[in-house]
Amino acid sequence: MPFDEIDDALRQQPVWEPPAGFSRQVATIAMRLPAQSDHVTGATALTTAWHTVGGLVAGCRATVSGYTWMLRQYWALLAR
Amino acid sequence: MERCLAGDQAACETLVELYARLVGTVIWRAIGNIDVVEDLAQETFLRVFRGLAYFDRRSRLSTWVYTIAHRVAIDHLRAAGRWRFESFDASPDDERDRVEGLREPAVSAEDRVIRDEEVRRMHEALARLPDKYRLPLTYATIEGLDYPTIAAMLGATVGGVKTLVFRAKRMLRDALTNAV
Repeated sequence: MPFDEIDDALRQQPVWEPPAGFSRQVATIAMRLPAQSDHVTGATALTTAWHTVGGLVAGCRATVSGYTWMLRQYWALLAR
Repeated sequence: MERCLAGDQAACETLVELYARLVGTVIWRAIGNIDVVEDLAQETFLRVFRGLAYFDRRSRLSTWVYTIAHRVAIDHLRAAGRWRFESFDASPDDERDRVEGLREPAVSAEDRVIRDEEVRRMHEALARLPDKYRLPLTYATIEGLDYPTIAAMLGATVGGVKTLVFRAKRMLRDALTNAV
């Protein structure tokens, strides 16, 4: 089958016709949705995750620092 | 678009009316199942309205809407386990893949029955093509979609899409030739 016949056959496929009231139905649903973007949602999730990781790291550092301080006090007591 | 963003429902209806036919056709051709087209077309427009405020106008609104329709179709194929990710990148192939060679000689004289049978087999062969080739060819034969729009939808270059379309046609022709 030559290329132009392949083209013709594919172009003869039917197109989709929206059912009556489709646009009204979609617009009505859309009006009820809060405006947001997948892009922004993704960015927000990434920021939240970043802050969570940052918080965990800061928490660990504080804990280690606390233990170090306690050990120093302990050794200082022993040294007296 | 501004009226739509301001919450004007009539403007949103107009936007849907403007693009619904092509959005539905893109989805139908991409997934091959008309039963879910209405739902997926609706999903497309809901994504459009959710993201409208962030549309950066670097491309035409129609291109952006059809790109979302394509992604909705891909999401559906992926959920159905019918999608294997492949880049729509036309990697270098042999010289025969050049788009200049798209013209095909020799149109044989076949009668109507043989022709119909050929068309039926062609659609079967098309359904078996890898999506990387099937989708560019499918979209390229939709009235109203030009190559720059298809390239934007697929995240490819215009030249790359033309090459993929050519290869898809060649695959189809070969499949039909081998089946005889």
